[in-house]
Amino acid sequence: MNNLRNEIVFFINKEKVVVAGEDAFLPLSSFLRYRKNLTGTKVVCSEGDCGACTVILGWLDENRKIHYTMVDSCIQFVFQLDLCHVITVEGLNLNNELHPVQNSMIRHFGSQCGFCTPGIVMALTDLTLKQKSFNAPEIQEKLTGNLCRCTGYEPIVKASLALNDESMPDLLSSLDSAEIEKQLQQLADSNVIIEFTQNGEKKTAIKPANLADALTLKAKYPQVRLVAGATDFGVQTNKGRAKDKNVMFIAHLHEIGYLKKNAEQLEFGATANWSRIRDFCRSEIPQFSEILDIFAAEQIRNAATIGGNIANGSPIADSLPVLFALNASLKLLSESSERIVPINSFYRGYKQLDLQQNEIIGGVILPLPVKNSVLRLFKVSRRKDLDISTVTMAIYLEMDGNKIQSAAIAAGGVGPVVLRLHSVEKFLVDRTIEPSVFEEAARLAAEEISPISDVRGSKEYRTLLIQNLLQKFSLEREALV
Amino acid sequence: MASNGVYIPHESAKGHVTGQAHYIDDLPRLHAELYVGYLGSPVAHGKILSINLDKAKKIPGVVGIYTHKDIQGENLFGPIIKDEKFLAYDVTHFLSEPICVIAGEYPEAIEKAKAAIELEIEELEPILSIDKAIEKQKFIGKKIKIERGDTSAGFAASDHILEGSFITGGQEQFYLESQIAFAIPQEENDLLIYSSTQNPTEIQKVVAEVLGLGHHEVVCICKRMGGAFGGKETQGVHVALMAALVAQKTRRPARCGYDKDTDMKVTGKRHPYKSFYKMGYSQDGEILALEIDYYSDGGCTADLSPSVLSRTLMHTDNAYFLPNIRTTGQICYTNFPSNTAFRGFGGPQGVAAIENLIEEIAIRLGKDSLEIRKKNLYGPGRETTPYGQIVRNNILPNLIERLVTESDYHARLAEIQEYNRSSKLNLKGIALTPVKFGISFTTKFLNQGNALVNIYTDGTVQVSSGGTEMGQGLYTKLRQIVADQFAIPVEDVKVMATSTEKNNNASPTAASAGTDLNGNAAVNACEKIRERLAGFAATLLADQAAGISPEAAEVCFDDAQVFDRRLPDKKISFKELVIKAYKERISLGERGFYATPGIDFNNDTGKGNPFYYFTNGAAVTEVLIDRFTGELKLEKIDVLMDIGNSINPGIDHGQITGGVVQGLGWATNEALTYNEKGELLSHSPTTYKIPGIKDIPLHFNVNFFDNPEHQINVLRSKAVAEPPLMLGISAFCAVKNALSSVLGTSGANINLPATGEEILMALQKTGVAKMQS
Ligand SMILES: Cc1cc2nc3c(=O)[nH]c(=O)nc-3n(C[C@H](O)[C@H](O)[C@H](O)COP(=O)(O)OP(=O)(O)OC[C@H]3O[C@@H](n4cnc5c(N)ncnc54)[C@H](O)[C@@H]3O)c2cc1C
Ligand code: FES
Ligand code: FES
Repeated sequence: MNNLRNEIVFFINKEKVVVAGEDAFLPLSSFLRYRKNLTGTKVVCSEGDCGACTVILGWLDENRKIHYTMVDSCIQFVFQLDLCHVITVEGLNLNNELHPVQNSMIRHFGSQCGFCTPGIVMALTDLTLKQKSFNAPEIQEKLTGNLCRCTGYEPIVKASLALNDESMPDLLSSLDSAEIEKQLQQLADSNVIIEFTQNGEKKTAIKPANLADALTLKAKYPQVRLVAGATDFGVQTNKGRAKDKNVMFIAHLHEIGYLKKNAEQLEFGATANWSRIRDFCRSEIPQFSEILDIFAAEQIRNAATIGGNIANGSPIADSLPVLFALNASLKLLSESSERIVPINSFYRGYKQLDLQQNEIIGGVILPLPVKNSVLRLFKVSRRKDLDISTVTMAIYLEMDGNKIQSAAIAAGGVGPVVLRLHSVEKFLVDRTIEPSVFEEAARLAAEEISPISDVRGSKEYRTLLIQNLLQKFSLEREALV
Repeated sequence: MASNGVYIPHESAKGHVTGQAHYIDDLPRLHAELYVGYLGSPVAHGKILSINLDKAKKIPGVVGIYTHKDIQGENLFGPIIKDEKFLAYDVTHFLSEPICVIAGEYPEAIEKAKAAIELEIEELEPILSIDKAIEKQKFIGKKIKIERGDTSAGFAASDHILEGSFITGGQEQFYLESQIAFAIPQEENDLLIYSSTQNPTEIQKVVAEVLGLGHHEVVCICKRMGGAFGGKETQGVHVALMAALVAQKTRRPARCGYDKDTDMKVTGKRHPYKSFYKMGYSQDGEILALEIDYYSDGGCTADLSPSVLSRTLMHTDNAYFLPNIRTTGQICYTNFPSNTAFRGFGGPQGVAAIENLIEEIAIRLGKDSLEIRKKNLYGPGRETTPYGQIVRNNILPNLIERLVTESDYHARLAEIQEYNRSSKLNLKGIALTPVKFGISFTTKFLNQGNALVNIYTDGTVQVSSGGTEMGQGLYTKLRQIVADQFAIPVEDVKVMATSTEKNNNASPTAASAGTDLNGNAAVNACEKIRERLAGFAATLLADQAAGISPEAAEVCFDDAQVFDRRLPDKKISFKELVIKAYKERISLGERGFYATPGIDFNNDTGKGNPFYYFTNGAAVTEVLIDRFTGELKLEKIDVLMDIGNSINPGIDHGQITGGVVQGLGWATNEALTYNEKGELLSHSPTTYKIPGIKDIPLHFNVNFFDNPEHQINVLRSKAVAEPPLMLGISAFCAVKNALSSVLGTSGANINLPATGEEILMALQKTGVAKMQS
């Protein structure tokens, strides 16, 4: 095992922060507001759905360079922040001058009540760090994770477009980013363990130095809750549905953050986040990238990992239908072994996984669609963007000329786990893609699913959606011919 | 230079963008400050059998737990009818209705105390729908009515009769800053309360009366709110009471704020409505008779429901002359948190009801709905509303014409019809809907405002009024108004936090009337000071040799200077005048007052002139619908608004874009879902979907319509906050228009909001969701 450190070290703007003890379990937003009096960061929902708490987070990538992305600070916990550089809205004005983003927001009436504004300013500042120019759709894309109830957004879009002609100050050097990077590099390679007792309860937060140490520690403390991006964990914790006393942070483990491809398949390390996977898949499986385009919003995608999505085991997880339809498999790692499990047999019931306590998901192997095949993915949600699915579906057909040679159809949101619609698949074989065939397929599908009514839609609506998506698919194909 | 009409940034914009503008939770923690939470009813309707606090009180960190027994004043309040208890003691009326207030040294102590309180409660059968309330005849207040003409004769003369029911859903205000208040004990019994409220006077009054204090012992201050939209007109009071009670009992500062989930679960929303209608119309689409019976879901107390309901009846005509009409309204009692104000305040439900019907007429007659709308508009010889007010300066016909041209409505309608004939996957729809919104509180006495203007000896000015700032730009406009009164730069004017100490007995900042009431009051104060200053300046500027004697009427304030019109070269600066006036012992402060003239309404007869004027506008919205999923996309929006002279076009433009988008959310996507226990399931942004930035089309044009005939009100301006919200209904009508292309002339009967599910189920009913190819 590598050497041990008992404190978390990170930077906020230009200030070095060292945390040992119970503050390690605070959401970053609370730490900023109530420990550092940096109240510019606002909190509305505590669940990643409004962006009011957006900050820019710098973390060391595999080359030990700081890489800055924006995240929601309400679902980032202090124990995740070791060796990070957090930039808050206060960090924009350390020299007492307004940033051009701020000036533009003022000039174009981009704020009304002002409560969403710091989050929007941070998202736009992040945009200016990445791009010199941007058009309106890119601005909308960037701000998908930021809700504003006052402005109707139009003034904010105007304020953003006006930034195209502005020269930007070098924010990162004004915050001594290079120096911070150096200091953080020196602290890398340690295992970090924070232990303390709060109200008579022992709590532990672990950040392993590397994968091997992670697996050793997981074997030693099998009960410890893994935390990657914390976009599920954080919501569950903030809403009182999870009360973990022992956590192990893994999103920084570069050994399982890989993205690989060859002619037959793609491989994603479990800690690869959705922003990276989205870009990576754009040429090989653009359909998947399109689903990821409407997966949460950038703040979430920058943190959320594929491993977390799979392990969380929600039947409406957006990545699952395609993984099911293309027969992906999972690499499960433990200190002593490695095994490969097809995703189609990984879920044994609602949130019941074929995963041992000493194991972690290491990666995903996704076979690419074969040459003569059709892949279509659907996500239906109440709001197109930043919403959890009502129903999802993947249709994958391998073709022999006009004929369907084999079919794989996976549907989410219509049962306790993602379902393969076997009777539909069987029915489709040797048939062609035409509306009459898919009308019958739709009828069969309805018999195979067991949706429930909930806040995202009634049972009847979900049933109808599954049927209609099959029919829509065939009509779309017809329109293409 | 005058600031009237200038794009002057929001007065707090710099604070907003830097995060330095303070909201209540940003105020530094005070020494010995306590956290405050509460235990609420575990059932929607129940009988409290016993409460045992013994165990809970022993939990470390718990400082106090208080029940109704600890209330020193009256455990009862309500803005219209006094029917709301602060802490329930016999029966509970909604899920999470407060029973015990808990003060803790830290938040965890409160959570533990909640779990340790032993509450025995017997569950009673709740009323959880309008239908159930109607069935049980459980209503709040009496039935109200507005009518004129003879509907039976109208029906008899009609070619077609349409009868049915229509539902408009509730809507969460979704202000970003949840309800919060901070109470700090002062000397003796006095309390200082920082509250995120549209109505500091109401907070002062209710806190005083419930705690057994005089109004004069409570000061309430509101610097700004992180959004309100009506949700903080009355309902800021619960957190204020809890914080105040703890402060009173412990003599320690106490802060109480809801998290988002709690806020959404326990505070009131826009009223859901169900209405039953019967309409008669001619073959060419003229409405000859209309009867609508509205049932609003009031929740468990009256709150503002009676006023909301009467505004619905007053807006059922929207922009249309309805010769024979009878509208009635009843507030249903249900076991939900009391519903309350939300931008539009009953107006949207009335406008939606009539616009839904107009769209139905068009669909059923196979005509363009614009033609039906135009046929029914107010016009010469048809300018009296059902409640008897004459529609003056009726510019809507012209405004609509201009919008039709600018939006290229007719060409787009033709294209859409063509598109729908050939598209198998999607449908398009378009609609133009107008709004004519009455400005003033319909409760006469609320139409008053006062403002305090103080000039300091360096020539800078502070102004404060009873009006609160929730983002709408009131402070910015007040600043402009006052600066222009003295012809000084806006930078020399500061608008101070709204405080009951400075402005007493203020009305809520609501009904879009914030600038009208408080701006006029500020002008009144400034005029009085200016008169004194002018009189004094006249003596300074007079020139006996030049034959110019002191004449106050000749004194001009311009460009931060003061001069006599007859001797324009002899100027003194405003600052110099002020210091000289001070030394001459001339008062440099004044309180101004304003009461809106000429308005009144008789609730018993349903007749009167409740509104000072109307704000008008119209919008064209185009939508795209996925035939297979019902998913809706807004394609284009064009808006034209008559808001008189815009004091600040930047602010007003933002009020319009923001209002329209809120209306779009209500009309298309914001759905409140409850379970059978009365628990709100869509209680956070994860499940309650307000419009996001990508939901708003990039084609979103907003223009002002010039209305030089509007000569009344402060700087000839018009209120702007609420009216645009109702333009969101254009999207709902556009959905109906789209559906009609496949549903045919049998109508497109959907309820509002037109969610994907609502749309798909409507398509499904006729079997057209399944595409027969
Ligand atoms: C606002 C918001 C929007 C969202 N939108 C979507 C959406 O559109 N579609 C969608 O599918 N999801 C969505 N989610 C859910 C969530 O973002 C995803 O499920 C995400 O991929 C989870 O990854 P994570 O790294 O954040 O997981 P974490 O929260 O860190 O972990 C989730 C669970 O997985 C376990 N875990 C994590 N990594 C591993 C591993 N390598 N091996 C074993 N167990 C592991 C953890 O112990 C935990 O139980 C959204 C969440 C939020 C907050
Ligand atoms: S507070 Fe809403 S995303 Fe963090
Ligand atoms: S300005 Fe109020 S929420 Fe955006």
